[in-house]
Amino acid sequence: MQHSHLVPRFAEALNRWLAVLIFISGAAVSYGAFAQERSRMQSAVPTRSSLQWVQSIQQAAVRVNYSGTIVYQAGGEMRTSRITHLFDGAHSHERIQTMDGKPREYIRLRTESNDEVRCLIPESRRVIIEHRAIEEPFPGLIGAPAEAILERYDLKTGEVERVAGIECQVLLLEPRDQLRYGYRLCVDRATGLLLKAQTVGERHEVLEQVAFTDIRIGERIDRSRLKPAWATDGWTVEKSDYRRADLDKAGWVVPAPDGFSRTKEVLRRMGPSDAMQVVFSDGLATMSVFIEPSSAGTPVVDEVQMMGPTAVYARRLGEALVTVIGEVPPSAVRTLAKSVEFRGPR
Amino acid sequence: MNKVPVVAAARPECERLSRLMDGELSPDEANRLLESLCVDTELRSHWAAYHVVGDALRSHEVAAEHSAAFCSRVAEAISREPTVLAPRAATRGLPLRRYLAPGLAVAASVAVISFVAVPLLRTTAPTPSVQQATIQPSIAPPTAEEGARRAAATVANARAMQAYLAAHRELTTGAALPRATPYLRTTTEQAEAR
Repeated sequence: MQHSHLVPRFAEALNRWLAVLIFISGAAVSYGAFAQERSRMQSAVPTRSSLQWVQSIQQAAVRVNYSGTIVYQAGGEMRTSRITHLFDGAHSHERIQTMDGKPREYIRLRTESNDEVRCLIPESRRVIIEHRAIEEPFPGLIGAPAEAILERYDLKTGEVERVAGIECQVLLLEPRDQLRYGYRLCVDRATGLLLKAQTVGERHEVLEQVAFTDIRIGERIDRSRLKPAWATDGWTVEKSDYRRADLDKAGWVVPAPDGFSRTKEVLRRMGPSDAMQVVFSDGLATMSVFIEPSSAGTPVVDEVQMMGPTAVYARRLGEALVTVIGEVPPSAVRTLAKSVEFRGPR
Repeated sequence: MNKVPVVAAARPECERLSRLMDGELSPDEANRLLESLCVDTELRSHWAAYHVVGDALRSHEVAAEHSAAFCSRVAEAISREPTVLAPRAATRGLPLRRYLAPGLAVAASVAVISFVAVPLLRTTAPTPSVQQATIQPSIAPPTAEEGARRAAATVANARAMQAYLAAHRELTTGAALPRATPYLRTTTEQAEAR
């Protein structure tokens, strides 16, 4: 009687121990991997080639755990957000909360095959799902292969500075032509994580900047910290989809500026009519070209206009209005606008 | 013809309306009145009524009071028209005439707006050093007409540029280093615009 009781009890205990053992060994293995990763990065401190610097920025943004406060400033504008980033060994999870303006949260999940951002809008109880593609937000920043970036920018290492309490290496990405601005970066020497980035104008003036004001790197991040502050049950879920446009077919010739590649081509509503939008990117700088029917009375001035770091230039072509906008030197938007041609639909 | 609303000079704007129709308002006043016309449906119905009255005075044949829904139906029909995104063959005649056509009165009133709008625009887009560096002065000092045209363009651009900027940032994930507040600002604006 008692004997028959003992057997299942023993099996139960064995099971429990096994579970604990598996858990512990799992934790040890993953901790080991983490520690190895960390030490590998630390050992890489002294010498990094230009290529390695750029790659380390890109990798650290994905593979390092961090949380902190990001401040963006351009002209009279300043914005603050909080970021929490976790790499679970396979996927990168990110939560961004805006600290000023309307409350928003952005939950980003990156896998090998997908990069999805959910934007939470509490006051209208909506979630907008976007599949990101073109540009990497800070602290990733660089959205093109390191080799391609270094074909267009010269990388120079500067002095060592301190940002958000952490010693960081200054890197200067100097443009090799007039089509883009330069960037002054400060990178955590241990992990390669970007701590500060400034867009630098043609006369070395800072056009915009973004930096961590406080940051914890390499900490353990509990998954609960990645959950949005609001329960989204019952919220409307929308996908932001764009209609695809085909400029070539429509008869438009929009040559990519040197070193830029065409990354998107969509048809979208702009004011009273539809416009075609083409986006060019070199991995750091971007330009959009809008082509739309121009309303008869709209006057166009032959001038590049600046909105903080953004340059805009519009030009009339027959009955169409061509507008180029981008975070590039004024001459670059003008040149691109002037290179647009209409050859008639094929 | 028989359904002209009784306007009575109950509202001071009504008197100004008729002066606007006669081209007697200062650009400043005209501008303010046009702005209230955009938002004030009652005032708009007076505006329509005044025109019916004016038409009737000139000729019985042209005077007709259209249903208010007519205009909105036309506007709606136009918005449904497919958009052709191709330039047509260049039209004959001076294209410049098109911009100057609305006449000096309108141009002048727009110029007034621009005095307000230009400084505003500058404050939203600082970094004056860049601005100076980039905007090439035109070869000759602009004439009054050219000035008015530029002013009109500036006003139109101010509004349009915000839209372009939002659209641009949206697809580049909020370029302008909102790579900083990443994708964000743009998605937000797009969402709010709905």
